[in-house]
Formats: sequence, structure tokens, C-alpha cells
Amino acid sequence: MRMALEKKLRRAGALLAAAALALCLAVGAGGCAGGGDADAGGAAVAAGAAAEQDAGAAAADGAGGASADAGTYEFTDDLGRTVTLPTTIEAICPSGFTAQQVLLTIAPEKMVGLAQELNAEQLKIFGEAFADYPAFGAVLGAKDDLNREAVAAAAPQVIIDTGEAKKGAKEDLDALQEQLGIPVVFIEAKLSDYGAAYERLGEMLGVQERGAELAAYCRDAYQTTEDAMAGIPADQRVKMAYLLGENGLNAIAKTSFQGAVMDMVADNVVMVDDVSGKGNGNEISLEQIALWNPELIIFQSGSIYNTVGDDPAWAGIAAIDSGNYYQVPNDPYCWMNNPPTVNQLMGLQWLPRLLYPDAFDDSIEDVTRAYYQTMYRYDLSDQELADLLQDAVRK
Amino acid sequence: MELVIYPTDEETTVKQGVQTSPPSASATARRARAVVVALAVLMAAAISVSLLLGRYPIAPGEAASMLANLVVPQAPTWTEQQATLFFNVRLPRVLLALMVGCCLAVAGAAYQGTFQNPLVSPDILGASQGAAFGAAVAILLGLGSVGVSLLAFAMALFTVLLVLLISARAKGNHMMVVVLAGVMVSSLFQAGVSYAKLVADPTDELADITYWLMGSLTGAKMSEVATVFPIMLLGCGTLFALRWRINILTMGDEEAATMGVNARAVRIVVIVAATLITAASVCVTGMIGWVGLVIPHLCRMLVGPDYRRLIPASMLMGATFLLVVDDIARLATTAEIPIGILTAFVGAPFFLFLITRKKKL
Repeated sequence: MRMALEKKLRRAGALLAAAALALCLAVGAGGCAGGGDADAGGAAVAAGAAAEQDAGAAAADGAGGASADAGTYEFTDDLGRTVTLPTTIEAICPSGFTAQQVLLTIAPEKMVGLAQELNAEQLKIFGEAFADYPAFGAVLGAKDDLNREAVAAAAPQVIIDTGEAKKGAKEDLDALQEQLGIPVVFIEAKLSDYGAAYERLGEMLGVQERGAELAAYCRDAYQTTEDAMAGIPADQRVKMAYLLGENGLNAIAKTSFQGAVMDMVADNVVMVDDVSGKGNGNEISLEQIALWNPELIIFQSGSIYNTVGDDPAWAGIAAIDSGNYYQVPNDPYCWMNNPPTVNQLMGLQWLPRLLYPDAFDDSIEDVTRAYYQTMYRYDLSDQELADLLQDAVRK
Repeated sequence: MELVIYPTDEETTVKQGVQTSPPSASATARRARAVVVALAVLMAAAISVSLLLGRYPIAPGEAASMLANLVVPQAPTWTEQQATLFFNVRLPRVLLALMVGCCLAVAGAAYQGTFQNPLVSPDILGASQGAAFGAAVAILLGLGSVGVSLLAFAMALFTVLLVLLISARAKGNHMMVVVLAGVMVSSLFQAGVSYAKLVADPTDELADITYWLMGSLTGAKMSEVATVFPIMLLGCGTLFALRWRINILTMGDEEAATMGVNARAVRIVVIVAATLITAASVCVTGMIGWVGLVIPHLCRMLVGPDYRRLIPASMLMGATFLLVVDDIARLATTAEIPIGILTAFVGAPFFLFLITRKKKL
């Protein structure tokens, strides 16, 4: 009897296993079919780009029977890699989140997909059409979540990485390029000179005018802040802190990679031994904040800005008592960091005007409008501007 | 301490002694062999389907003729881009999934037999945590993906060596000490990984380490497949050859001695082989949990506890399982889902099932 029962159990086990595998297969196939539909938008974009390319090639042929090689050239990227690129580029793909932000400013019309889906606020700024774009994940190095086949299916002519040069990046980008058969280039982009990155990208993507416009804007914005700060000696800079987290007990420390803007324009009171470069900064205690006693505090969106005024625990801290605390606007990206890329340029203009309104000829409202207009080609309505700056200007 | 979830050999023997039908033993063996053949067929089917599935459009006919082209030249009906994707992205990934699934499952089965503990998985001796620490350090040093794999592999072997050396000096129940030392050394390296995460740059290094810890076959390259294949072949071949001796290990050292088997020597060889293939798997894919724990148990339900059948069954089912799960990882969305998460989704409920089932027995 027991033997028979055991046999039955085993048979049931076998059936279970077979069913599980069959289910997995079915789900896999279903996922494929479903994904196919979702990709239709991206594929259509890619097809359009390909058609344009063909048209371009045909025109070139007509002009003088140019050879196929005439359509490409050797490009040296900022890692010193030599990459063969098409002369006319109509389809591009970001390698990750920071590259996505940069490409959304210079050539959103050429993007065939995203690294990360856009949220509702971002879609409002960049266009609802991006809601249908596929999100491929990001290239990181040893391991990542970039779906190789999905990227290739969207047929970008080049994959673009931006940011600061990292060790090992050369090898990783080479490997990706070889695997996909699609050129991958790296363009250096750093706070002190986003202009250079935009010029390089403008040249490469055939949007020199747009590149030059953005480059000029970035350099001008940086220089204006730099000049104004030259007139404010270190001992007169505002003692401030940038707090985040659901308890407001995380801080971006002085010299942190995330706090470059603050280090440029203010005296960040948060000095710790092991400075974290993470987006959520260093954990600190309320007692420590009281000890530092900053004159001004900015809170990241999602922190305690709305409740801190009534919280007895925070009473006694100069910035809170005097009402000298603000919330960093978060749309379409956080103005200060998270991740720190061209969005920092907005923080770089907002923060010094908040701290030293007399040092500038223009207002926060002026520079905000100009930033959204130039960088995102989006005209903020009066209401939108007011909403954006609601908690970010002196009352 | 010992959880008996499945009937051990002794129990089976006793039950068979009570039974009055002697042919049942050979019938069980025959049925188990049939199951192994069925698993092989299932794996072949899964391979064919997986090669045809992908987010990049490649028609089944084209895929087939591209493969045929390797042997007999075919008139190309495919584009260069399709060939690049098929041979550089899809094929290495399918191969790696098969190899890693096979290795983790068979290593798990071997460890479970060696330690006479059904709750053991391939990372029991710290191979995974050691590898994770090596990988994290390599990522912090910016060594690139080859450096990451090399350091991960080296650290995995070093960790297991460390565990064995420590336990060799300890007194008491040897197998217990080995497992305990493994757990302790693992947690040491886990702390190391946590520290690496703390100091990592969040924009890329931290995410890189995190993805590594979740495991994936995303970046699978032919060069990686070619590098780990000989190691995996050696390890799996050794375990396959020793499968009868692993049976004897499960009966205990004295029993083994009466059958002329040096349990200690066999155990060392099994541990070395299983560690090699675990390290080779983990160093290219990152941490993929549960396969090594769950698959041997599933196979035990299908073919019984006899390692002569359990080893090949685990190899085949492990390979098929990871291949199918990876198909979901790469097909479900346009971004990738780390496979370590998916295997845990299947693994954890199964583990709970095992625990609740034990109460009934």
C-alpha cells in the first residue's frame, strides 16, 4: 500500500514538474508575444529612421555614385576609442540614466528607446509619445539589466554613454559594441563643462545648431554663478545643509560627488569622516544637525519639508525656527542630484539665487523659465512655474 | 539536526524488504531511466524553442540555416546584424544558461549527498559569498568584466579552501564543522560585500555590484562560454563518474569502508569538483540561488534518491530549468529581469512546500 502511495506521490511530483516547466515556457512565449506588440511603437520609429537613411543613401548615390564607405567616418570618443560611425545618424539609444537625461535635451527626436521609463511629470515635459518607447535598462559594467536583443531590435545606429570616465569602461564598451555590432561611444560630461559634451554630441548627431545653443547656455549659466561667487568670500557663504530621507536624517556631505553644486556656492555644514557618494548620502543624527545648526536647510522632495515646522524635535535648529528651509523641486528631475548630470545646472542657478538674491541681476523665476525653455524646449505656464517654485523661494 | 524530507536508501530498502514484489527495484530503475530520457528530450525541445525566441526578429528558418551554415555553407538569407545577434548574444546566452543550470544543480545534488543534508546548496562552503566579495572588490578597482570574473573565481576557490583548512583543524563531527565553518566564513565575506557596497559610487559601481549579487546571464559572451566550459566539463565529468560512490557516502563512512570505498577521499574529490563548477558558474553569472537546492529535490521526487540516476537527472533538469527561466528574464520585458530574482520566486515557494510536506510524513 505504502509503495503504491509513494509511486503516486512521485508521479504527482513528475506531473507537477512537467506542468511547472510547461507553464514557464508558456509564460515565456506569452511574454515574447506581448512584448512584440509593445515594441511596435519603437519598431515603427526605427523603421522610419531606416527609411530616412535609405533616402539619404540614395541621394548620395545619385550625387556621385559614392561607395558604401563614404557613409561612415572614424570617430574618437572621450575614452580614446576609435569607432566607425555613420555620417548621418537618425537613431540613437542611451546607455543609461544619465545619458538618457542628456539625450532628452539635445536630440529626443532621434531616440529609439529609453534606459528607464519616464514618469507622468517627465512625460508632460518631454512629450507623451515617450510613454510608448521601450525601456531597455542600463549598461553598467560587469553585470547590468540591458536587454541586448531588445536594443538591437530597435536598431539604433549608435549607443551613447555620457558622464565621467570610469576605469574599465573602455573594455566594457568595446565588449558591448562587439557583441551587438552597433557602435558604442562615450562622451565625457561634467558639471564644469557640459558645453563641451553638447558640442561633441551636436557634431556627431548632425544637430550642430542645437548643440551650440545648449553649449553656450551651459557655459553662460556656469560662468554667471562662478562670477557671482567670486564676489562672496568663503566666510560670508551661507551655512546650509541638504537633507533627505523620510526622517530628514540623511544628508549630502561636504565634498560628496552628489553635492558638487553646494560646494560651489555655499558652506555645507555636514562634514563627516567617510563621505558617501550615494544618492541617499550619509545617515546623520538630529543631535548632530543641532550641533552644526545650519542657517538654511533644503529638503529633497519626499522628505519632511511639510511637517518639520510643527515637529518639536526640530525646534531650536536655526533654519527651522527662522523658517529658512526649502524644498528642492523634483520635476522632471531633482534639481540638485539623483543622478547628478545636466539637471545640476538648474540647481547651480537656483541655489545661489536663493542664498544670495542680491548678487544676481535676474530672479529664480527668470532662470527657471530659461532653463526649461532652453534645455527641455518646454514653456512653463505661470501656474506651472508657481507650482514648481512653491516651496523653493523665499516667502 | 538532520531533516529527512525524502526517504533515505535504508528506508527504501526496509520497505522493499516488507514488500513481496521483488521486481519492483528493477521496475523503479527502469522508470527512472525513462524519466532521464524524457528530461533529455525536454531539454532538447527547450533548446530549440529558446534559440528561436528573442526580442530581435530572426525567423526560425533563418536561425536554422545560420546554424546549418556552420557545417555546410548556405546561401545567406539573413542579414549581418541578425547573424551578429544570433551568434554573439542569443547563442552564448542559451549555452551559458544550460551549462550554469547543469553545474549548479549537480553541485547541489553532490553536496547534499556528501553532507547528508538535504538543505545544503552549492554555496554552503562559501563559494558564492567569496566570489561576490571578489567581484565587488574588482568592480571597485574598476577591473572590467574579465577582471571581475577572474577575481570572483579565485576568491570562490580561496574561500572554500579556507573553510576546509579551518575545519581540518577543528575537532568533533567533521561534516558538521565543515558546514559551520562555511556559514561563518560566508558571513565574513558577506560583511565585506556590504562594506564594498557602502563605499561604492552609487551611479554605477553600486548598481553594478547589486546586479552582480542578483545574478544574470545578460552579458553572456562566447569567450566566457569557451573559458568556463573546460572547467565545467571536468567538474561535471568527475561527479558523473563518481555518482555510484556518492550513493555510498550517503550511507555513512563505516558502511562505505565495508564496501571498500574510502569515504574521506571520495568526499574530498566530490567537494573539489562541485566547488570548481560552482565557482565557474558564479564567476560568469553572479549569484543565482535556489537552482542548486530545488532541482536536486525535484529530481529526487522523479527518479528517487539513487545518485546513479539523480546525477544525470539533476544535470538535465537544472540545465532546462535555468534555460527556461532565463527565457523569461530576457523576453518578459524590454529591460532584463535579473535571473536570481526569478529563480528565487520559484525556489522559495517550493522550499515552503517541502517544509509543510514534511509534517505530513
